[in-house]
Amino acid sequence: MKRSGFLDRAAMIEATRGWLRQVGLDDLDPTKTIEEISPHEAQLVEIAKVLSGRPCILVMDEPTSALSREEVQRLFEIIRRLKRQGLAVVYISHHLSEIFEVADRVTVLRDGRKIATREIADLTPRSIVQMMIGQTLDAFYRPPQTTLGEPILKLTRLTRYGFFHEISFTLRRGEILGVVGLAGAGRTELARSLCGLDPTHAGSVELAGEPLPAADYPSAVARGLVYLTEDRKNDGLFLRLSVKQNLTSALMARHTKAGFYLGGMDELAARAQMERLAVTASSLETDAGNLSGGNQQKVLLGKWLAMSPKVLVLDEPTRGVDVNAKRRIHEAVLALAGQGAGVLLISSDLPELVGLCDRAVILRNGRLIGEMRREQMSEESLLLAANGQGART
Amino acid sequence: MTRRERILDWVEVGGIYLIALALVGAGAAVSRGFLTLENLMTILNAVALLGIVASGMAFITYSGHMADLSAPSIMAFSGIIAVAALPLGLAPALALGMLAGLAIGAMNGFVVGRLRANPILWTLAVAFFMEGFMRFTWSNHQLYPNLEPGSSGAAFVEIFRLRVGGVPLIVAVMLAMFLAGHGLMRHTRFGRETQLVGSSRAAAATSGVRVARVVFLNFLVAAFAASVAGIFITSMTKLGVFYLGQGYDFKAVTAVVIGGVMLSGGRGRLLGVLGGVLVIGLLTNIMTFLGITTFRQNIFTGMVFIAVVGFQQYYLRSRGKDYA
Repeated sequence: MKRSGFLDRAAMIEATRGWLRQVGLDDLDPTKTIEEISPHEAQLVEIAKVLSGRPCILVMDEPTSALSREEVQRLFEIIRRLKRQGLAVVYISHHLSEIFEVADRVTVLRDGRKIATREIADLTPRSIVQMMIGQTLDAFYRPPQTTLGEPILKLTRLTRYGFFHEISFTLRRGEILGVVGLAGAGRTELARSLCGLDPTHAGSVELAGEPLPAADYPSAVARGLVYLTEDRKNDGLFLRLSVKQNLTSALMARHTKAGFYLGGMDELAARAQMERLAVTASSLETDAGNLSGGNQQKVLLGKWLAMSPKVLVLDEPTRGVDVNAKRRIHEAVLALAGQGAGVLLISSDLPELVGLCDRAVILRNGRLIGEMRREQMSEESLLLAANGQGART
Repeated sequence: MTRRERILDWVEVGGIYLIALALVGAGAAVSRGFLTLENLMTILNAVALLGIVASGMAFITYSGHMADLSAPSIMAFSGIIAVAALPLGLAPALALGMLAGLAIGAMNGFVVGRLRANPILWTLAVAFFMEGFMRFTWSNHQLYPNLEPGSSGAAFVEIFRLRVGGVPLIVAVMLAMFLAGHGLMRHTRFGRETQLVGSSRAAAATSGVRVARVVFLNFLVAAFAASVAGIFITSMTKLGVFYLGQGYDFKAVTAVVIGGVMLSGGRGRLLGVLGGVLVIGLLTNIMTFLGITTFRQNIFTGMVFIAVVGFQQYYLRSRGKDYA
């Protein structure tokens, strides 16, 4: 909004007021910064911003993950009004209840392919879930676990306000425990806090019977509790360092004698992980940034396997990797559990959860709402449980 | 490591020494007085101060924090405190001077490591503050040691002029610091963790590295080197005053970057930095032989810096390594 080259501030504020009214933020002061308003208001401002471009099609990708229940209702009212005004909306969500509330037609995608498009009236939550999971892929997954070891990780009423509340569970040696939930349920936040990467407000974590200091990840690592990040490019790999240096970056303490670093042992340790995970790289000296996504993920896992952790927390360990890398990673995780380590697995990949986990805890809106044994687990039951239906406590 | 990579590795470090060798040849061509043992020792002597500062500055760059711009004020401050403490005797004076410099380094390390301040802006602010502080405290005066024969002051000004086995003490100290620093960087846990932090602070944190502590120690190492240089420069000029280290911040970073340490952190070697220091010394010496004035030398040094940084960026981008 310009007037002979200068910005017309008054007109901009007035126009902003109009767009904010569109999304129900009648009372919001347009001159406030986004930092000053709440996350859900910010989410609505984001929608208002998109509307100000006068679109004829609006694509919304998981728009409710930052919103509370009442705010979701408000968003739906806005969507219905926009629909009446002739706007077409593509609404992407994992939340089945939302789909049934706002959608007229549903398209189901799986593994990058379109499965079907149906009228909502012809569908039930169960039929959508069946389309989402399709046929179970193959049976390379684990044999049923017979005996589990003693408890290795114990959470007691662990709380971080605004993210997760009073989470308690126990992980045993040799067990793979799934953490199931929808986007925004607080899975990653829980994982980072229990390791000490993020703070907690209440509750405690015990590793092998000893309490773990809060928000002290380095000492958790030193005691064998490690976290494999979901974001390998940002806080996982050292992209500008060699594959060897990445694979041995967790062995720093072990390869140090009286302060001196004994690099001679690196070569052997790195080579062992390369072979174990079948990493394809031109050499150990290649920059990790030069590898393919699957190989990068293998290197990230190999770094932790090299130090034989007591508890490995995996956050989306196979996201965006090819089928073969995925298989290698699954085999390595199973082998680690077989050697008596406890594994906490966060994943949005349902076949992965069903195939690997001995047990799963269900997280919804930051609370633990239930638990499933291996024999109760199917892609369908997990998905329904994550949506708050049918989980047994 | 394959043989090709081993060779490339050598070129990365050895390249700077090839340039140094070429400069020696150029110097010999320019003047007959150049290639004498005496002149070569003069060059070493002249770059020793810069070398000492650069040996510590390299740790800042290597850890991904680019530069410690408070290095000149650390030099001046350690020198002033040492001179002021001379009545207590030589050894206590040197210890107090070193401690004064280390205190600034500790503060830098805490603020940048724990509070995550921007290293450039923070150390720039410290330099500004320290200049005002020193001028105010000593009322803009220069501090002269008592030079009576036999006094601690006389011994203090001798430090710069001492020779051990025919080699000036300051040159020996510089070489010792590069050797020790090389060991620290390549062969200790601290050095390896510094590399991880320099490559990616976030990834180092999720690997269980105590990032704040590592950063703290790096600033301490840099302050240690600057304090040693501060003692020498004060001994050389025979007075303690706030402006003593001026210009050493930029010159040290230039030597570090010419020596092959990447400004983005995590890559480089301290022995390369020694090469960078020698190259700067040789360039300066040759320019002096050619009768080029100091100001024009500064223009030239600035141009070399721009060229090297430009080349580094080009090299990284051309190999698709501008990630992270």
